[in-house]
Amino acid sequence: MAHSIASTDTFAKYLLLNAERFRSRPAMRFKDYGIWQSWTWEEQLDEVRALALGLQTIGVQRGDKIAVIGANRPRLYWSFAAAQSLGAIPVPIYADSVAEEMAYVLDHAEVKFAVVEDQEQVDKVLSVAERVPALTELIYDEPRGLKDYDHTHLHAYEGLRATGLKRFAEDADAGAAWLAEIAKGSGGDLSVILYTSGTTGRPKGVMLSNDNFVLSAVNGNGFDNLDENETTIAYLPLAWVGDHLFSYAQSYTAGYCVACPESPETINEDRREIAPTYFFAPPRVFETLLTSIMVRMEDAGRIKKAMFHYFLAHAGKVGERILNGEAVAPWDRLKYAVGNFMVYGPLKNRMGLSRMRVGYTAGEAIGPELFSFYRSLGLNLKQLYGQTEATVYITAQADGKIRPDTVGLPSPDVEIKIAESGEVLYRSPGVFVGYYKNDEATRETKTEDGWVHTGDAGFFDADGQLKIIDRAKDVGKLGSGALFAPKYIENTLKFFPDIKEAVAFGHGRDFCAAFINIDLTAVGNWAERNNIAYASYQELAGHPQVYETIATHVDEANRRLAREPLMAASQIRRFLVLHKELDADDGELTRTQKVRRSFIAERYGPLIEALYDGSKEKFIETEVTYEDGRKGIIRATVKIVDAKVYDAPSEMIREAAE
Amino acid sequence: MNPRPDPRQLATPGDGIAKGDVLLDVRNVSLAFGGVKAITDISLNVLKGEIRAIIGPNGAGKTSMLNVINGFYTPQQGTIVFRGKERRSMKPHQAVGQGIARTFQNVALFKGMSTLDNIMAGRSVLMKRNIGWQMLWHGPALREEIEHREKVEEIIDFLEIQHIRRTPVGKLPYGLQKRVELGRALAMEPTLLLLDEPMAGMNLEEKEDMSRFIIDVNQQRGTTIALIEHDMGVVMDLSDRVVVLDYGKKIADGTPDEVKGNQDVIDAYLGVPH
Repeated sequence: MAHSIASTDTFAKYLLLNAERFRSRPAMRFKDYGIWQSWTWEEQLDEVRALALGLQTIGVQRGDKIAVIGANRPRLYWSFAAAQSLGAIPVPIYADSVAEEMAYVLDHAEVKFAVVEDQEQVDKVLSVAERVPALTELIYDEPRGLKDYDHTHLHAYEGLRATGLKRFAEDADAGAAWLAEIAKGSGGDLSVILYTSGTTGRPKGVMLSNDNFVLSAVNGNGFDNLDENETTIAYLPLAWVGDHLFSYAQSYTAGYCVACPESPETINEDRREIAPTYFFAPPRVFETLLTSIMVRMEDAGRIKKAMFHYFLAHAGKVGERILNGEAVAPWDRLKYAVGNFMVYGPLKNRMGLSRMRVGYTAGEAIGPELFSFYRSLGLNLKQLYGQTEATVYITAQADGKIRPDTVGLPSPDVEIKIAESGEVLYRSPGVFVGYYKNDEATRETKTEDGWVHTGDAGFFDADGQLKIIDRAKDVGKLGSGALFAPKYIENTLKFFPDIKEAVAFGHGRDFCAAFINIDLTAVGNWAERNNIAYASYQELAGHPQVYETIATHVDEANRRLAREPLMAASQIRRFLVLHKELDADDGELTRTQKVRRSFIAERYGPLIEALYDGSKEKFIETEVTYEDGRKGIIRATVKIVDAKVYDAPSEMIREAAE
Repeated sequence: MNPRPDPRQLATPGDGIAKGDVLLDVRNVSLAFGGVKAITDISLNVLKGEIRAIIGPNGAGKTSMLNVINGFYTPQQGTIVFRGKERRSMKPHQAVGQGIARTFQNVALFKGMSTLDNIMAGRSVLMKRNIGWQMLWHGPALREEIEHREKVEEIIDFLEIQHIRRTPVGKLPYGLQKRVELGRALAMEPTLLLLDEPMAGMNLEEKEDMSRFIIDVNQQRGTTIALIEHDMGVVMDLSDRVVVLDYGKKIADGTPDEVKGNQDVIDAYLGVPH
């Protein structure tokens, strides 16, 4: 059967096409038993077909919803394609959700089947099965520990695959019928339902069509010249729209290879071995990477340390200009080349980014310093602004037009306008079909002529690049009337390796104050080197010397804020170091690790009051949820510290006020 | 292509003893160090395929019992029948050859070596090529090494320690070291696995993980397990049968429920003057 790209409008059709045009090129890799196993496009077709024919035997039909829960592994990606080939709709769910959250999504999506990774997920699904009346069959990949379970409605992936292979070998009609099923699919059909983690309220099921994903992926491939020669590593949650686009949709449309790590703990090593050419990560990953390097460098010898800092300073000066192709003095270029040999190259290799051609950071605003750091090493890191509702792309930075403080120009085929309220609106072929079973929310978000409200406040700068300030509803005003953009302040703080998370307060208040979460890796290492004994996170967080260190960081952050005319008013006057790590299990962060500011404000109300009433310390009790769902209480007396503020250059304030 | 091996292949090779038959029979064993009687006339057996716990207060003779079973101590009286063969004295390396592996109360790993090398060390008893071949590290010796490495990778996967494959063991937290030690014992493909306080010094989460692994080893690999443990909750949940020692004597033997209700056991744990 001949296929052409023009008529290819579903991923199952792309699979058939790729098995023809790319044949024995690798489609997927997975490190198992310490060795990278690979599957070619032809083999990938065999696997998907085997699973699809197996799924048919347990009753999967067109229109059924199939939950997919687990870490990034080939078999779960194959279940996307297998489900779609039969006209069923995959509903990936965050694997680290607690049973409670899972129950809501499973039930809301009316999931009939679930393909899950292992016993942990089987247990979770079974524990809430009663509340999900539609759910009939459960399929698991990893058989370990499941031997004694009741297998009436529980199926091993391996078994279904074997059934599928047998059907295909013995029954010529089965294969033909499967192809006919694929042919029935069209671009307008629902491709997948992705539940947004939701910084507020219950998650919403975003329905995306095949057209949404195919067109967005093809546009994205064109924008960055991605073809079958790329390699990427799949390590972000399956339920995140970015992973679905980068590790599935773009791989199928461009034909490139997706590598799955051995386990979530081995990602750094696996990335080093694969050295992806196309890489994406939320700012948090880049932060952690930088933190771990800085921590290791603290332990390095004096000569190495000196060399590292000398060349990094040089990269900071000229690195980005060289990457952008601007004019740089020959002497500086030479020095940069030496630096590349001595420091930047080994550093990139260490991070597994030595082959990276295009890298994206998305999901959240990245601190300008952090962004510039990576670019100065010669890494083509770019920012992308997107949403689940847009099938990712709203804006992206084009090569050569990259600035740390903007998110770039509108992506291909995307129209953007700014509402009077400052909110960013867009219209594109990627705009979602609607929220599943929630017409009211769909109407609130999507206008009749297809414009979608992003909920983010932003503006176009002189070059036509979009700048995002914050969530529209988060941007507030201090008591004095000055602009208060909490995320900006938090990002300034988070650039310090010792600070993992920060939450800024100030809307309607006289001044800005902040909660700070220490980074256990960085601060723990520092404590070890300075012989500071601690028994727990709580003890370390409250240690007087830790407070001193954080105070110097806050001081430095204030200096930086003072230099920004719009931000000078929101320098941090008081702060505290939180006694517990903010955690998604406690609802303090979303599953994509974004701070849920209003929830935190409510939960730690007494601490916020203490920030503003001048007290020196405050006692607080907090309920915590452990991974297995049990609850406990931690108590702490948290110290509150004053910070120094700096004068802003006065004429700049006047300029900004105009 | 399918890289996943059939879990049944992981099971230990058959030795003619069916599941549920007596694998190890300890008959009237007594052990004394000078005037101190560590074990007095104890008989107990371990059935193939079960998880057998040995419990008792401190100094009850539990570790001595394990040491007798794997040949580290030779009892003054009594006999030990393992896989139908009677023996009085045996060297620990002979115990390994017979299919008995153990872990220790205080972790006994090669601290400077990686997880991978530690577990590979567990395979050394099964390697057949002589030192000459090993040093050449070509042809048959290399093939053998690859075969063994495959088994070791299965164990690494099984115990979910891929992320510390290359980490020197000394740098690992205690809970993980215990897991590596279990891995090394498993690498010997034992018929009988002796675990000396596998959960000592662990927090709740680590204990849960370890329990999971012990059950999986027993069920999936079919390994018979005898373990000493202080955490009663763990023992009662894990084991098929429990034997209770106190002052070197056996005071109870039976299923967890039988043992729990036994007055002597309650006395031994709550303390009654002797």
